[in-house]
Amino acid sequence: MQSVLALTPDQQSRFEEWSLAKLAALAEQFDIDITASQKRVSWAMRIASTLGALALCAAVVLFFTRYWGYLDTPVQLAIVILTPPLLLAGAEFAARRERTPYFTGLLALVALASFILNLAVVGSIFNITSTERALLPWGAFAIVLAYRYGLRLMLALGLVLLMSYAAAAYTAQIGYHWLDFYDRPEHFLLLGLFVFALPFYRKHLHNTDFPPVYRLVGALTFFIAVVSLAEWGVPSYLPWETNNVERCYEIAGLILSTAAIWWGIVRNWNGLVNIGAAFFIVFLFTRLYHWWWDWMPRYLFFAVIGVLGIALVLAFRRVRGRMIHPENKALA
Amino acid sequence: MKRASLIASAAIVVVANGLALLHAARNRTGTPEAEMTLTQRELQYFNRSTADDSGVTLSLEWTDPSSFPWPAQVQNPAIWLDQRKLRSLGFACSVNAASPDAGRYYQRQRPRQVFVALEYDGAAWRAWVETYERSVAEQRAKAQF
Repeated sequence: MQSVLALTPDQQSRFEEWSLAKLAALAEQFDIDITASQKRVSWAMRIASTLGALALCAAVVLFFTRYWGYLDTPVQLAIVILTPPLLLAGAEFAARRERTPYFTGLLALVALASFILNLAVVGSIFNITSTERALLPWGAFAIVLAYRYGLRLMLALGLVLLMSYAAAAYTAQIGYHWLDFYDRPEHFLLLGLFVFALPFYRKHLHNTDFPPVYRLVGALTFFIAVVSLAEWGVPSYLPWETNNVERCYEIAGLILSTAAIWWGIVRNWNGLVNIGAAFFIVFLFTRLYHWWWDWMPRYLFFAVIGVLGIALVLAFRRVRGRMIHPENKALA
Repeated sequence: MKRASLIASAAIVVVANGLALLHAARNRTGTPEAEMTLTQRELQYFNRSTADDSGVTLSLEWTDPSSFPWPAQVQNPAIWLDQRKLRSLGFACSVNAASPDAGRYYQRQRPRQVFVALEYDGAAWRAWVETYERSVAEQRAKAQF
């Protein structure tokens, strides 16, 4: 650095003053972390906020269960219907007082849980036949809160709820019971692709950290569906023998997870690289298990897996080396 | 725009609850076609009150006329939901249930929504009770022997 740009002591001192003042101003304005320690504390706060929200969700449900039998129907209804708007008001109140949404996220998550409880309890009180339709307002509520307060966890939950609604509505439409919606993984395969592709069509100028959530939820859904079909092909729509369906999805999983790693590296999407690598290993080891587990001694099977793991690390290190020194690739 | 999303989130809660309550109200309007008094034999009351659960449960108990506690001891129990009945309900039963392809074929078949009429204290129930009592008497005689 010093050999590239030589500053006089005075210039260096003024630059440091300016940079510290600028960082302090940015931290004050956007509540960002300017040191590694601050970043670690922020992560701890996020984790504590999420765990606190989950504990509060459990507390709300258990509270209703504990006192339910002592209340009349109008009181029960009043409590379950008024709780979500009250928690929503609490989230709004918190959002106006904090720049990083720790308490807002916590209250929004509890509001979503209480809204889910709300419709479930109303259905139970009036003996309404369960349908997939409740998934739509739950998903829409989560998405609206996610965009309003910039909550990534809420966005992921909303996408999962809306994907479940789409799969359940289609399942009911073609004659199945809607609760069997998870029984046809190919629905989720297409929905995962759709969610993954959404950020290409909808630019996020305000919530710039939302596209990775779409990609994460979409890719996870897609690959879980492929793994499921590779292991048990009976629920597939493909009109082939079950074994052929399973082999087809297994090969597709290996190719597509490799493609995901490559695409993630090219586009600098760390989440996609990690998901691709995780599922590539799952597909590879599952295939090896089917080939070798029955006839190979257990110690040898795990030894081979270990050697393959080392080979993968070496392969990834080589790829990484080429990325650091692109001229090696040109020479190769 | 900022206020619109707040209104939208509140509106989702209001509209969802409104539709659910409207559905419940419509379901309760009009005069019932029939009324039935059930005893605790048919409608069992479970008081699950514990320190963490104050709810109670009502469970509708019904009996399958071809189901007995020890079916092997009952000769030729009447199978009311047989292949002919399944076909008349719209299920495709062309593949022999004993064939190797049956599992895959029937696993892929769509469930169908059908209605089942429950008979209350009728001929089927009396026949079931008679068969059950005869079976119990036979078991007792065997045990004494």
